[in-house]
Order: sequence, then structure tokens, then C-alpha cells
Amino acid sequence: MKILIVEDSKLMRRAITKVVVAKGYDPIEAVNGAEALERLQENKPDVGLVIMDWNMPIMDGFEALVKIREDEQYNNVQVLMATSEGIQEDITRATQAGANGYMVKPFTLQQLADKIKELVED
Amino acid sequence: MAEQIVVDNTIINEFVKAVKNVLNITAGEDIEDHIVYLDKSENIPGEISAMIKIDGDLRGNIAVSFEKDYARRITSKIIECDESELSDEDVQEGLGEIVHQVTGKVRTDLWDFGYRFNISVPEIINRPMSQIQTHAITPVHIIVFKASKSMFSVQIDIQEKNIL
Repeated sequence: MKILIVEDSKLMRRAITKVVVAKGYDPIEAVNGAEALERLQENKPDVGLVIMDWNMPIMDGFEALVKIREDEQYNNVQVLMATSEGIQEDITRATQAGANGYMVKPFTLQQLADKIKELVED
Repeated sequence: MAEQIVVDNTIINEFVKAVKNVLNITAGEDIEDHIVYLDKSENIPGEISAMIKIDGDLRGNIAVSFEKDYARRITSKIIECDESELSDEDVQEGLGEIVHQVTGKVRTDLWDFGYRFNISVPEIINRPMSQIQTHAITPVHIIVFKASKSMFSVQIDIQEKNIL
């Protein structure tokens, strides 16, 4: 299974990629929401999880989440928002838009690994 | 003499809490102490910096400044790699991530106090805190933190929207 990592910070993409590889999954990367939609299209149906930042240039993670949920071909793709946007209204908005999980930064890489396990293995 | 307009202590305290929280969770770093200065006359620690803009009920700039070696050590802890695997650009990005997470946490925590503001993407500034310009009409707050093996600083150069 492939996991799509959507992060504008190269450093954080590297950190998340390390976790994904350690869990035995294939990472693919995108730097914003628009690129995430392209990577999803290119890699369907292998992508099982998208780990999505919110605050990114060009297209943010929330807009990308909405577009993913509008497209029936991605019904089985889980979306985990991993972001500094921690206001309850944001969490509720993302959950109502179809996010399967929500992590507010700061978090440890172990917490991320546990969340990936919860979403794709349990 | 006219009374000086200063930023609410609640806001400064939230920044202190956020810095301690972010560094503890992401890098396992315990902050031992901190001192708040109301000007930049002190000898402020930090060789490289990262800054983020905020706009809304609070507007201005937040910057963090670390010694290069300390920034490298913290960045290596954040992404759990050896320090030798990090380029200078990686270390700068690490500082950017810290100021982003700190400001994001403050934004979340101040929401309950009625403050609403947006934050920009971080900007890397390859110079020390003492050379970063300030803009707000309120005095700049410099918080100097003491960690186990280094000192670093956070500059809060903001004002509330209703202060002209």
C-alpha cells in the first residue's frame, strides 16, 4: 500500500516519510493540495492513506480534502489531517468534510506511527 | 509621563507555554528558565532565525533565534536523525517548523480568549535576532530561554488590532 504525504515543509516530509517506511508502506510525496490530487490520480488505486497538512500554498489541505471526498473513486482512501490548525472549529470542519483522523502539531513521530496503525491496520 | 501600551501578559504567557510544549514534545527538550525583556538592548542569544507573520486581532511578527549548533541538534531530534545527515537548509527549515508550531499552538490557545488571527508560512532569516527589524508600536518582547545546553530567544513584535 502507498501512503501519500502532503506537506510543504521538506523537513517534515522527510520525518513523516521515515515513519511510513518504518511501518512498511511505500511513501509518495506532494508539496500542496493540488499536487496531492495529481499524485492520487497517478497512483490510484494503490494509495490507502493520505497524511495531509492544512496550511500550504497554492491549494491548502482542507480544499484538497473536500475535492478528494467529492470524487467517488477515492471512497476507500483514508485522510489523516496532520496540522498546526488546532482550533475545535477547524477539527469539526475537517471531520465533517470527511477526514478520518486529525492530529494537531506538535506530536511525536511515535504518535504519528500509532495513528497510521489505527487508521490502516486496526 | 504617558503610560506605555504593552501587549497583554496573557499573550506573552501563551508564547512561553507554547515554546516549552513544542520543544518538549518534538525534541524532548526541557526548558529550564526564561526571562522576558521589553526591549532589544540585552545581548540576545541566537545566530540564525525564522520568522512568521500573523494578521487579525493580533498583527505583527514572531521570530525565533537559535545558535547554529543548537538548531542543528534540535532539528535532528525533531526528525530523529543524526546531526551529520542535516544540511544547513534542513536546519533552517527546522527553525521554521518550530516557529510555525509555536505560533499555531498560541493561535489555538488564544482562541478561547477571543483572539482571532491567521498565520503565514515561515520565513528563514539567516541572521541573528538583534538584526531583525521591529514594527509594532507596542514595545517588542524578547523572551530568552535557557535550555540544558544552550540559550535561545523568541521575539514577539505584535500589537492588538484596536491599538492605532
